Amino acid sequence: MENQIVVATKNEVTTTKQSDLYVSFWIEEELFGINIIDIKEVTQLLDITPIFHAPSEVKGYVNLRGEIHMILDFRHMMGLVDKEPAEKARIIIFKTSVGEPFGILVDHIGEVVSVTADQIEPRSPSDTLNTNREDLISGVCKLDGKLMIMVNCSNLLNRG
Amino acid sequence: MDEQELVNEFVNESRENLTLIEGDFLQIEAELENVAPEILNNAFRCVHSIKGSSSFFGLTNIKDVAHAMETLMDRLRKGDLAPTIEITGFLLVGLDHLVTMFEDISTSNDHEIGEILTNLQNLVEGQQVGEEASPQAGPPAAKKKNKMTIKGFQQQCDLYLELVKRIIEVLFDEGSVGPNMLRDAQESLGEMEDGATELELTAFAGLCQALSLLIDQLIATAACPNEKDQATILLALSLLGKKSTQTKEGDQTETLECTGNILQLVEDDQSPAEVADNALSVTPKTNVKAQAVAAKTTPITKTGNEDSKVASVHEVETIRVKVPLLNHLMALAGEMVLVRNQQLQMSEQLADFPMFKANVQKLDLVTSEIQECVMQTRMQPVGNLFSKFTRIVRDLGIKTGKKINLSISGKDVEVDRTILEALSDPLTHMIRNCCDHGLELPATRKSAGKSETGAIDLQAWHEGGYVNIEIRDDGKGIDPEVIKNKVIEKGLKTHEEIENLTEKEILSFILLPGFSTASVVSDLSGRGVGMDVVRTNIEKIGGNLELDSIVGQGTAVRLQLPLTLAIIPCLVVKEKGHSFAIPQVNLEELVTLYSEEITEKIEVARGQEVFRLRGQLLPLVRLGEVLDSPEPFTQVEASKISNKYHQHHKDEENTFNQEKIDAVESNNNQAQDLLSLTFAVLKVGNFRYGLIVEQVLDTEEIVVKPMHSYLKNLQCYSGSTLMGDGKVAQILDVPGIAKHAGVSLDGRVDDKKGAELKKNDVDTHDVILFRYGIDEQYAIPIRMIKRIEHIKKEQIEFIGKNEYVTIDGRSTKVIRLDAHLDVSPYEEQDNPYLLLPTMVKKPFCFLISKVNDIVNLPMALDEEAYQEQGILGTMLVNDKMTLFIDTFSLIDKAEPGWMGLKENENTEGRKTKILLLEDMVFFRNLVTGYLTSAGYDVTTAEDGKIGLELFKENDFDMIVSDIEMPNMDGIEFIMAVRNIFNNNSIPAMALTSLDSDADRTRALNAGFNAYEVKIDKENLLKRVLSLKETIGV
Repeated sequence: MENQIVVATKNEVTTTKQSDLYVSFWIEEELFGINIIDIKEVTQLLDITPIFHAPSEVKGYVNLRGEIHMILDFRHMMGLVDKEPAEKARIIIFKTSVGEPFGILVDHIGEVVSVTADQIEPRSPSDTLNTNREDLISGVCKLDGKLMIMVNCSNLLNRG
Repeated sequence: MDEQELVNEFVNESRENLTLIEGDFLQIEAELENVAPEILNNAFRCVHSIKGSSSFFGLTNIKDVAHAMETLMDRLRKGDLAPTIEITGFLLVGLDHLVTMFEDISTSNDHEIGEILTNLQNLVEGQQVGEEASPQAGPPAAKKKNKMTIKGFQQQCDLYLELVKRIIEVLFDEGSVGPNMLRDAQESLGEMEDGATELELTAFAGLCQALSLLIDQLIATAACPNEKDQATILLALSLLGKKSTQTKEGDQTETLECTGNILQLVEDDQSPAEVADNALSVTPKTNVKAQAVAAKTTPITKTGNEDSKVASVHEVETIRVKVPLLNHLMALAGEMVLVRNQQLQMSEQLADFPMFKANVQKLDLVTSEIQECVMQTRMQPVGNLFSKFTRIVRDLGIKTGKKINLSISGKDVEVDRTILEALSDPLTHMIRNCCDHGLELPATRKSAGKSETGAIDLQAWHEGGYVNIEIRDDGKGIDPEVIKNKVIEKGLKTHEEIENLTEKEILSFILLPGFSTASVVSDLSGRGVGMDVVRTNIEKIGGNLELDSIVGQGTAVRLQLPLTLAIIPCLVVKEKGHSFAIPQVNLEELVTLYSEEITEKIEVARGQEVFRLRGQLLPLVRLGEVLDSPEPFTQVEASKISNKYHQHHKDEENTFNQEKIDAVESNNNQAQDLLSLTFAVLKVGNFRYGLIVEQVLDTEEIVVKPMHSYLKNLQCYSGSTLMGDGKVAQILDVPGIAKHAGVSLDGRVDDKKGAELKKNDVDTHDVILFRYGIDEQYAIPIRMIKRIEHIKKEQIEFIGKNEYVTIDGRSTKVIRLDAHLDVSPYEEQDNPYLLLPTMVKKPFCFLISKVNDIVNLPMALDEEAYQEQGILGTMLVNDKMTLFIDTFSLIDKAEPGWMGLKENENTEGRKTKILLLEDMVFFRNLVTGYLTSAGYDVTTAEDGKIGLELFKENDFDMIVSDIEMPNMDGIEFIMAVRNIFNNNSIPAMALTSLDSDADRTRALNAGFNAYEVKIDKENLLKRVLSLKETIGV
């Protein structure tokens, strides 16, 4: 469903101004954004098989149409308390150009927003975040009344 | 088709051909003048076609070498020259040059070939001088001169053309002609082509080659061309006739056009099945096929040569398919298997739809077949790999001055190409090993009574769904003594430890990294990066390696490999609610134990649960515990786990028995599930262990998917897969788990390292390991030994039947273990040792033959396995079952009543009841033993809490308690007894290893009446007795 929204918005915006589309999502009260170019799809919560001995940020493996994907818990990576995924939780699956098949688990998905380069500040995230994974954040973007933290996908598979 | 593609095709074909003729050369070398003519012919044709094509592509260096080789072989073929080892040697060198040049075709013209050309030419010419007079009346080619003149060439061409024309005419007239005649024609064309090549008449040579190809085809199809084709052929021949008389090539268009036409004919004639294939290539492809056919149709004139490569390799027509396409097909077949599995599961649930079920069964069958076929497309005979060893062995034989005979069997056994590729290096290494340090020099062999020629057997066979490969030599074998010394030298084990290992265990040290026994490092092997790399590589592809060796008789290495890597049969087990797959290749058997067997048959030795499987001790690993611990086990953790379960099972059994009684009492006949425990016996090379799992589900063919690279460092998994229900499951890595649990040779985390990480929480003791007879190893805790005395055997004196030694001026009685225990007799020594026990008033000593070692061990004794007075229990120490001696009870047995232990017989005939609190199993049992043997009735508790419960419910006469205990310590316990239960009358003794005044005061203040330090039996018993008397029980 989210995918459809993506397509619609894309057609609309790209014609007007030099800008990128970002898929936004929420972890608790924080808004994050990932460049749509890197995203393959957003899925409902799937049956996750835990992997014993794996680093704690690894939620497990899922089977997505016959292909195994590793799922990282983005909450955990952002230094937030672990929580069982609720009904609204979604998995963002990345394109293989980002890395071997994997996705991240997020609290819930937001809208797709169009962001121009001048909106992005290469700034560290708000102080509510208590993470040592600064490398995952490439900057923040001011939206109407809210800051969106830009996620640097290429570093997701670097072990922190 | 562009030229580059043609060149590529030519290179690929030529490489294949070169591997084939390498075998031919080696066979020629082996049989010399007895060699079958078709072997020579085959090799000749291969080199010839390489020469032709290379000149076509302007690869002059390749052409020159091939030409020189061809000339030499031609003389062999015609019988002008007898094959010698020198000749085959240079042919092989020439071959190597060709192989090198084909490696990088673009630089081949820069390759240095001068030397080999001279050598080959010398061989041809050197013989030619003496040959001139021989009455050889062969075709004119035999007289071919080294430098061709135009005139000579024209004369030759006339002769050859005449011959070819005549044969072709016969063919056209009669519709068919024997293959031998056609081959004559082909040969003549070949000679003309050579001459033309030499004179650089490329168009002419090209036409000859095209015709030759066409004839190949005619031989193969045994058909006669139609009239139009006949015309083309005749035109070609007449063109050749015309051109041969022209000194310069002149206008070539006609010739080239004609060549094109002929090639077109060749192409058109192919059967439809091959058309697709030939769209890729015309020239080289047809060559090979024609050769194959030629080889088949050539009558085999020599018997006993059936196994020659010529006959065995190309028997079925083949086409080339791109490897990525095959891989993709394989992946799809894998997906299909998964869908099939899901369908099967679904159909189980939909029992109401028989039609659906029947359909799924059909799908099941078809899928299995597809999977099998697809798998076969990836299969290649191991012969492809094995054949290269003939050459390697030959070269190494020459290099090392050894006579080696390599015999190969099972060449047709097929295995997945990825496995074959992965096998190449390990096998080469092992073959080199055999040659370099397995087999001896001829002289050594002779003096050892063996034949001078060493034998290497390379064998492949199928067994139980796996491919087995064995490399066996009849060389000197591996001397365990050499390994032992090396092990000690490298500090891997002490001298004493190594004495206790079996020969197989010693051999397996070779498989550890950095272990090479070759005393001299040669360029062949012995650099210390050997068998461990082999083992790792084999294990990487899911295989197994076993090593066997008998000194003086040889060594055998056996590999067990899966047929394929992509789909493997697995045992699916369940643990913690998740499925896991265990590759069948590692699985030996499944063992299930029921109810009391669980406690009886699983022993704890050296902090490790073990099971005696048909006389072999099998370490047991619990999958659940492995999964729970992300870090590899330390010894302390391992023994903690073992003890936990040991206790747990006992409890479980008790509860269970109680329930059973309850059930019987209440007439409840509902069938009780038996308590059970299942483990899979898994093997890693020579090593085996049992993996205890919650539940065994099924066997299933699973599609292996590699682990995500983010998780590559997890050693317990080798991959993952999708199960029938669509869930992801992990494939367990059998060697990895052994390492993680610390049961393998190079397994457990060093405890010193471990201690830094974890708090040391299990008591360890120093024990002395020693021997008395040949069979057993014994142990006594150091604290039980006052000292060790080294004596001469003459010092032992006899007084009556008893033996005595004077130590420190006192006659000390010698106790011989076999006199009081059921053990093997004393092993006579000139300088034996005496062990003097502590805390014994009367002088006693134990005679022992040898001190092995002093080690620090967690005290996890197994009391059940061996029960005899004088023995505390058994334990596995350095992989050897060890008897722990109870010095007091042994002395008691040897000298009954010496300690006056009968004093506790109560006047009322009632035994004194003692509550003993002690958390350590070892001491609990030891003290219980002392007190029981002294006639007390002992009840034990692991800690203060349990003690208090027991105290509430029972009527005890006395308390003996440790201080340091979990949950509730001895101080808290006695305070509770005195203050909460207000029992100030019961005598209580603290028995502890804490030995300071502060501790003593603290204990006495808390309410203990006496304080004893562990563990002096005499004092303990005396104290207990005096306490009893004071209170007046």
